[in-house]
Amino acid sequence: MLHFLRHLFDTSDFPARWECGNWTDGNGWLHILSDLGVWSAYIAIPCVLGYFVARKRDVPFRTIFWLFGAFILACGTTHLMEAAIFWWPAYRLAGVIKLATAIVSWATVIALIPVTPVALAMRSPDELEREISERKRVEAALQIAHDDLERRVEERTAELGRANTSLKAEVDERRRVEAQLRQTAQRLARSNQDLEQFAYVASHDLQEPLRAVSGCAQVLQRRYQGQLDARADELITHTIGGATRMGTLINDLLEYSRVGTRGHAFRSTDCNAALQKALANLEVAIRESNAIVTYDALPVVQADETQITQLFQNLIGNAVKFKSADSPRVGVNVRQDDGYWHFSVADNGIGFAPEYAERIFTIFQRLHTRNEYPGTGIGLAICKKIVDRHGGRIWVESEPGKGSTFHFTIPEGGVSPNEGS
Amino acid sequence: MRAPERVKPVEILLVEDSPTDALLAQEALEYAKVCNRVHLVTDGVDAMAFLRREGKYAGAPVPDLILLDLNLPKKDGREVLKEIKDDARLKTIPVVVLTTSKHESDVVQSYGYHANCYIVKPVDFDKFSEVVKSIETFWFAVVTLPTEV
Repeated sequence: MLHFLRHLFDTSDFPARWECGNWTDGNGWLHILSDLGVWSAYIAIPCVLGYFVARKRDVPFRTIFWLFGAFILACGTTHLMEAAIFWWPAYRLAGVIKLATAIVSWATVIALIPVTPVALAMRSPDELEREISERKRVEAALQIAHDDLERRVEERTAELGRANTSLKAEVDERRRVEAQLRQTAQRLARSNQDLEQFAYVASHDLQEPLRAVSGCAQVLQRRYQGQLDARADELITHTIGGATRMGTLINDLLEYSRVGTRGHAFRSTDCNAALQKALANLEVAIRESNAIVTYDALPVVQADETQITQLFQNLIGNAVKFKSADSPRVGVNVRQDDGYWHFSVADNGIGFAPEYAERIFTIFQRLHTRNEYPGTGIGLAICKKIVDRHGGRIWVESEPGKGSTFHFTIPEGGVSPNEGS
Repeated sequence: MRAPERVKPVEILLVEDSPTDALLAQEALEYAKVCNRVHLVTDGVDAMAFLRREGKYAGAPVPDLILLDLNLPKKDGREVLKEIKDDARLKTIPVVVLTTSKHESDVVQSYGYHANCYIVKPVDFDKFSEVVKSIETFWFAVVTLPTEV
């Protein structure tokens, strides 16, 4: 080994290639020029590779590039030696150079092994181009969608702005209406107060002169009955009768006005209980006329119980009062009808002509004289006022000699008391 | 039918501002079983003067019963009631409040001032007559008055 290295550049053991064999000039120079050509190319190539790697800083597999550069350079050097050996047969040096080349080449091979699968996995520029253009297309579509969305948001915002303005206007309108309603409510409250005062006056101050007329006439009757002439007795009797009727009329008017002014707030009212109270109040009349009253199971409604009792009492009382030759039969029925409870009170009494069906609900309107049937004609007017207050309707079907059926409705859900009437 | 004579007639003070009501009350009292004398005053001031025997009422008798209307001119019947029942000498006289007012507040207040009873005047005279009769029967035939003792 030492001998080899000391004589690395020693050419004494070998002939120059020109002397080794029958080299013609052509043959010899063919080898020399070709080897020099390869050597110069194998220098140029690593230079290009080096330049490429130096310029493209992020090139992958930089090591491979350096190795390639290295083994090509080494390989070029072996070809230079082959050309040089024609004059300078430094075979030992040439051998070392070849060995170095083999080592670098195999290092390259070994380095390539793990790199190959990675390189295979890398996408080609075409693939990347396609992906880029795909991404660009998607980006363009996204931009369009984004712009469209923004446009829609703007539209919506404008819409909402408009809706908001109109809502504001509506709220203002509602507030105005509310203020009006409050005013109306206040006016109604004052009007109710006035009515209450009027009712007090009617009950109190009108009674005094009434008492004077009635009382004095009665004293006259007591003192002088039979002592004056028959005409005087008659006149006194009529005076007393008139005063009594006036008293009844005043009381009836009071009762009528009180439907509104003394009405209670609505509560859950069991109509069965109200009906039973009314029947209890009519006990004497029912018994005396042998009346039979039948009824359905009645619902619970939102109402003023006292007034519902009065309503039943007036209607059933009438049915008994205006009886026909047969003993009175009264039927109280109920059914549900489109958000209302629809009640009916049917009798087999004397009935009346349908053309009076509206009139009889008017205050003090009667279809008979007081000699035929007692009463002032306030009962049905009170019924109507009560039904109106509860937000319902009242009407009647009748035929002379065939009895009457009174109908009234009460809203299922209940309303606040209608005090406008 | 006239009342039978009694040795000493019952003295009734009628405090009533309406002349018609006063007339009717006197008419009803005339038909009483018990002999009675009705003294009429028409306002609260005169009522107290009569009871205290002041001025023109110097010789007035002490009434056995007072029929008092509530709504009076000058001095109100409610005040008169309160004064009577606050007076040591007068409070023993039975006071029958006889009025047209049905108001709960009047009833409660009258009993609060120690009225002996409260009667609402009926409109009908016959009924009023019955009421007056029952007042008389009760206070003069049934009840023992402090003046009888």
